[in-house]
Amino acid sequence: MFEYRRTPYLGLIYAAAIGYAVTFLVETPDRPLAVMQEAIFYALSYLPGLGLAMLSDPAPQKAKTEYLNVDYYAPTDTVDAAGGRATPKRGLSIR
Amino acid sequence: MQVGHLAVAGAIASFAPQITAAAGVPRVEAWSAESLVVVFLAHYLPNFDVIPIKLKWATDRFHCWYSHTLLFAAAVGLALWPFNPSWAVLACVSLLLHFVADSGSSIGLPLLLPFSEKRFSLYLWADTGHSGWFAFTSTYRQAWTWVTEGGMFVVLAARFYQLRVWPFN
Repeated sequence: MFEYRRTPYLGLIYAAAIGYAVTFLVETPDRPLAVMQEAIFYALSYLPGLGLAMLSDPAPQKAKTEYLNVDYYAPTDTVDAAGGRATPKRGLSIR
Repeated sequence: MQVGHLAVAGAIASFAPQITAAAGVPRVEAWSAESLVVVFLAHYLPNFDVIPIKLKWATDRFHCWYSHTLLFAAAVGLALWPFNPSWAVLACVSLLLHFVADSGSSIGLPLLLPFSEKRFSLYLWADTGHSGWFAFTSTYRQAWTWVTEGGMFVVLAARFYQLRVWPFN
């Protein structure tokens, strides 16, 4: 999933920045966040933080390029040969 | 977008009072049973196009076809309007935000069908199929799915705080 070992750790740094920004924007003075509530925000921030870190990692980009070269919606002959059930009764194909 | 649709739908339902008020229809409470049912059903409705595919009534290309068009959103809204205008508005917003959430996928959305077959996409991640384990895991091997879907869960948590829902009460 990652080519660089640093990517998950870089995600932590991004998560800290995102978590701080979100708590800064959301928290109101009359309702300060408890420690556990802040922890929830920081933990959830790891999800987009990891994504941002993955943007600078070659492995996810390679995976995307690899997937883009395949048409995952192409009709499969194998199913047709097995029983012809993949062929729709009416023409519903896009192209 | 896959798991992120949960967060998007939850966030839409949290804004139900604002959405219905802006449209001038009877108010629906945030995260009420009504808003949750309408928003989740409408938000996931476009992806129900997988059912005919699984039943072998349609080819795989049926996915992200007419169910992901502005015409479909308008049709659902118009169909619901006589019964409940609030549901119609919430459903329309949910459908449109489903399209926004899917706009990063390389499959592209034929939003203007039947007038144009042009597919709109931001190409943030490669689409690897409509269902199945491979489609799921390969989606999360790509960066932007984490950014967008993870970001939506952070937004949802912020709404939990703003609406004083557990664990932010």
